[in-house]
Amino acid sequence: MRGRLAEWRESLQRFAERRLPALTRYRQPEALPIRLHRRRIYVMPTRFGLYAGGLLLVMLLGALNFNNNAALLLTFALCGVLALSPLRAVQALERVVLERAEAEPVHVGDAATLRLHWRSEIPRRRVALEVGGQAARVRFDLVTVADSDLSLPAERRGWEPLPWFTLSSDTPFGLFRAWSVLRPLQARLTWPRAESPAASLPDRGSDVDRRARSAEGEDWQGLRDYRPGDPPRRVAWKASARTERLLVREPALPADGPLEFRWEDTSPLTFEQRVSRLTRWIVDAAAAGRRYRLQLPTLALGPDSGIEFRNRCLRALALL
Amino acid sequence: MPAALPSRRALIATGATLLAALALNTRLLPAWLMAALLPLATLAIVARWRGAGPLPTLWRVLLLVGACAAIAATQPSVFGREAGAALLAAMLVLKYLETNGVRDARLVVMVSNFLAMAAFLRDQSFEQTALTIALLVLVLIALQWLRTDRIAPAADAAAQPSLRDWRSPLREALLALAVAVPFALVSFLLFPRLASPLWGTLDDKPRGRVGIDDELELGALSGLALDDSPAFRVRFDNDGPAPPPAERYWRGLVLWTFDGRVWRGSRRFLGTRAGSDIRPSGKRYAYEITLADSPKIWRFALDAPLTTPADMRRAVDLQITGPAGPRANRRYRATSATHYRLHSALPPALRRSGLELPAGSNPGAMRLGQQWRAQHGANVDAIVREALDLIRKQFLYSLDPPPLGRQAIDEFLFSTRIGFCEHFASSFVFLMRAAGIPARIVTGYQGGERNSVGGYWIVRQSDAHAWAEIWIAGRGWERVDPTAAVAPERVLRGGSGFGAGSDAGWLGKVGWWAGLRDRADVLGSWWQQAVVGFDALRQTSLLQRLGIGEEDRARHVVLWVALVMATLGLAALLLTIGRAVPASPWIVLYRQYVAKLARSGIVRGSTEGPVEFSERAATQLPHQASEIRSIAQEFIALRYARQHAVESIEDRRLEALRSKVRGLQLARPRDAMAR
Repeated sequence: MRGRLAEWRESLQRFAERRLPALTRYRQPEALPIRLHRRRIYVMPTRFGLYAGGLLLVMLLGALNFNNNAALLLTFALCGVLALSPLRAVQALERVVLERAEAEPVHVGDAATLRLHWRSEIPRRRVALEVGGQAARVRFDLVTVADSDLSLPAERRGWEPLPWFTLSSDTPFGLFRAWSVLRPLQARLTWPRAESPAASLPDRGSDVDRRARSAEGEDWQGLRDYRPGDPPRRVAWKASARTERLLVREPALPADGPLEFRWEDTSPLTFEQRVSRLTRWIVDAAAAGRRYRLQLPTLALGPDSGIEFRNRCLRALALL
Repeated sequence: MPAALPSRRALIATGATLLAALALNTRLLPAWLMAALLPLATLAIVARWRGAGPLPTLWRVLLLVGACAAIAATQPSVFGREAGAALLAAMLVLKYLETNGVRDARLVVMVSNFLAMAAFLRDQSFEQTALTIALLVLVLIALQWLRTDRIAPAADAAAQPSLRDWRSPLREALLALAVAVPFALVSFLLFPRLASPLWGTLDDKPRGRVGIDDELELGALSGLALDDSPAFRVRFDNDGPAPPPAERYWRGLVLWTFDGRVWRGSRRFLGTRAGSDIRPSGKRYAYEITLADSPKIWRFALDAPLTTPADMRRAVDLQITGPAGPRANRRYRATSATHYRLHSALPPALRRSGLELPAGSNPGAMRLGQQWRAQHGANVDAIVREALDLIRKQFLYSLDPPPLGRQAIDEFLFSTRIGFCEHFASSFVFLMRAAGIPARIVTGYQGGERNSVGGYWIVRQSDAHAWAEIWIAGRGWERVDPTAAVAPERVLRGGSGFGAGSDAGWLGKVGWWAGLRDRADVLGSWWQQAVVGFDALRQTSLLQRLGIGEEDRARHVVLWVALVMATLGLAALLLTIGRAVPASPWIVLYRQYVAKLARSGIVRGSTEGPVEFSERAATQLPHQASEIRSIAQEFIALRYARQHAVESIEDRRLEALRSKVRGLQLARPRDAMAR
């Protein structure tokens, strides 16, 4: 039943999209800047507006019944205010321009902030607007220019088109809400989720070096919990037996020289887990100020350090 | 969204709205309720100002139960209008006390309108309406603040927006009301009216104002002596003269039966449509009366009325009655003659009623009347003179007579001897009946004051009066006003002029004040006639003047809708003025350039951009080709090239281009040269 309803709604939406492109403009992304014209602004009474209308109807009936002319005048004055409210609400949105939309990349699971830059084409105007849609409504005042922040969830890594959102206003008395749906032709980048709990950074050099080093004298830093992908020969069996957990020995790392983050080092994990681990390594290494090199099947980056390099690496991982 | 609260100033504006709506109800709601609710609402506002939240639940419940119980106990009917308004007022104040979120506050604001409307049940005067419209300004300011201000629950006082930023909401409110005015007027005139009410609670008995009634208890009229409000207004035809002061008796009810304490109107003559035997002499007065309040069944007319409108009846004792209630017509025409002879021959039924006295009541007065009868026999004039002499010599006229007990006439005649007009009239009538002369009491108004601005006469409640009529063989019913014997100036100057009315002191003698009062009364009476008196009937006649018949409902509605659309469109236009985007200077310049070329015959096609158009112009005008091309280049640069950060450089480039466009010397159109 529910599936049938959803299907029916879907087909209705498709039909509306085909027949009424103006009404469903949000389905087609537009290039910035987007200028709001009254032809794309819609108005509906708010819940309070409906309630006020009902009250006015009762007042009207009462005044007519008693032929009470003073009461009729009062009622009609209020009706006039009500009738002109939608116009004021539309005027608040008219000729507002969305100049730019910026969203700094975040990791999957974090909240992204979409910063919107607004401008009013009408000088000497001050309007209270709200931006929302799928997200909670945020209020801001627009005088000539204004910024507003919209909080968006980040759910998938990589490029993602900006979602549609609405600019709305229930100026001046909260009786009617005018809104316009905006969908800028722009995408935002989301970095992959960093693995958690954090995996320690891999030691420098190749497995061959490591094997050679451990042969010439064990130099262990300590024990830690087993994580999938650890070589079995690192497991500290005796210690594990004592604690009933799998513990592995962790080799001490020399503090100099670039770190190597290699795709094949994460081999037993699934694809997304590997991306996630590399992300964690890069975030941790960048936070520690280390130099590192990223090797992916398709490209190699570095060695380098710094925020910019980190962002390049994360971007490469996001688009993998 | 976290639950955001309305700001403090929004709550205060809400409270102020409620308080104003309550204050408008002062005359409708019982005094004890106002005395309880006004301070409570004021306290609540002060508490909000100091940052208090809603009242604890226990207190709310206690107040709710208390208010309901008190209203149920004091009001005669819980379903009456006043009980309804009282309940609404009490609930609204309680709602304000518990208001927490925006929704509650909005409810209080909107229902305050309803409460203010309820006050119109009692008073539809111009002042009341103007004050209620002023309340709307407060309502609209409160709604704006309730919309704009959202305060996080934990925010400190510094986050509260200031109450002093009231100018811009006030402007918005006034603008909204101003553009709503044409809509309200058109709808008021043309919205289809109900010819008869859908539900009838119109028989709710009006309370409060003591008007003239068909019961007259000694001391009842003196309560009216201080009521300065108008009873009715009179306009004599062609602004003709009013009768002299001593003849300005506005006849109302005729009271026949007396039970020892209270005089009552006798309904037995109301039904008699039989023409009274009346023979007028002397001047006739034709006039129009407009009652100030919605009428009870009786009407007033100058003594004695000769003709009355078709929907009214004149009984055999000249008492006029008509339809009652708020829908009844308040305005009627009549003609009167101040000199007349009524009932040369007295019908037996009237004689019987005119001599009736309750057995055993007021024995002293009865004895006195019988004694006069024995003394003077059938000499009516002598008996009347005896009675008036008694009153003139031993009695005092006062607005505040002492109260009387069961044998009211005896107590008044033989012990207190201080009275108001009804004391004199009823004692006189009692004495006459005791002496065997048919007599009756007439109540109504005596006096009147001319409004020099409006050219009409106002008769006020303080002019209420009672006098006597006695029947004398061969002369018919004759008016005797015993009050004139004790206080002749009362009759010459009218009740309000006699020192009763609040304005009649020294202030009333100041010219400008009187002028102001006259003007206010003209406005008030215009309001009563044009606005308050507007109804389905007058709407029909208005439509007929516009050429729409009574049965043409469809055209009526179409007219209303069309005019509403027109007013809304006009308002929208007014609101849109001044919002045009100023064209940027280069566009203005480009238009000039295009217009200049068009004058020399090169008209820009609608699809031509500046480059193609200028190129075509250059080939058609080879002499100016280089200038035209450079202007085009400059336009392109100004519009599309990188903007100079320094504005003055931009300005200078624009200025250079302007002089180039101006300096463009174009020849006559080519075809003209060829000819």
